[in-house]
Amino acid sequence: MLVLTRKVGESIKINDDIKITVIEVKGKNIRIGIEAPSATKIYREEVFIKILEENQSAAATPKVDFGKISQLIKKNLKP
Amino acid sequence: MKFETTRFGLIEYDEEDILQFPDGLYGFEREKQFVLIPFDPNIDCPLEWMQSLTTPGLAFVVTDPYLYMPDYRWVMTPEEERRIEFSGEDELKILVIVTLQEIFTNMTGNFVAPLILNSRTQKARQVVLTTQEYDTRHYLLPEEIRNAGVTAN
Repeated sequence: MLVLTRKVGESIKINDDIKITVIEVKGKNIRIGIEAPSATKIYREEVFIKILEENQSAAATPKVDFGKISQLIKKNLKP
Repeated sequence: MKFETTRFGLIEYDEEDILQFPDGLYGFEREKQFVLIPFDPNIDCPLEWMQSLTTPGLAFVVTDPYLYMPDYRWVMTPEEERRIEFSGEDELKILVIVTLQEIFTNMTGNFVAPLILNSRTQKARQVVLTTQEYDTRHYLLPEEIRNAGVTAN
């Protein structure tokens, strides 16, 4: 991992079109500003981890009566 | 073509039925091929199975998010569009992965990471939405049904 030290107001450039700026440091919290092309996907890492975990949970299908489920879903969606 | 699965036994499918996920799914990066199987052959049900063609025991339950959220919105980056050879919205099919719960009325859909399928090329991708509007565990059934708490095992 590349590690750089920055002061408040200073930035890091990634390629030509991404700029990350340290906005504010308050105790343990650091506010970061990111300027990037709109096509860049930016999200908190927790979101990504949640998706991984949810895929894992979905893959572990509990033993349930699938006939009952289909009937219930059908009853509640199709008027 | 044939594949022996844990849940459905031997399944038969045509090559054009194979959904190709060039990048796999999050946490399942090696799972690049799936087929859709009706959830219950006896009932016209909005749920479907998405069976892996790599791992016999891996099958996800999937459903159409618009049945539960008519104004659901998703976005792909140009790179993601390229990966599924996107050329128009009318050729897309959108699905969300369902997590079944022991109390099955509590089943949820992952609305943060929909599956976007190009039905022309059969290329597909799980896309992470950066909006904070949606939940990875969005209840599919209304609250009054969930409160009834029916178990199905």
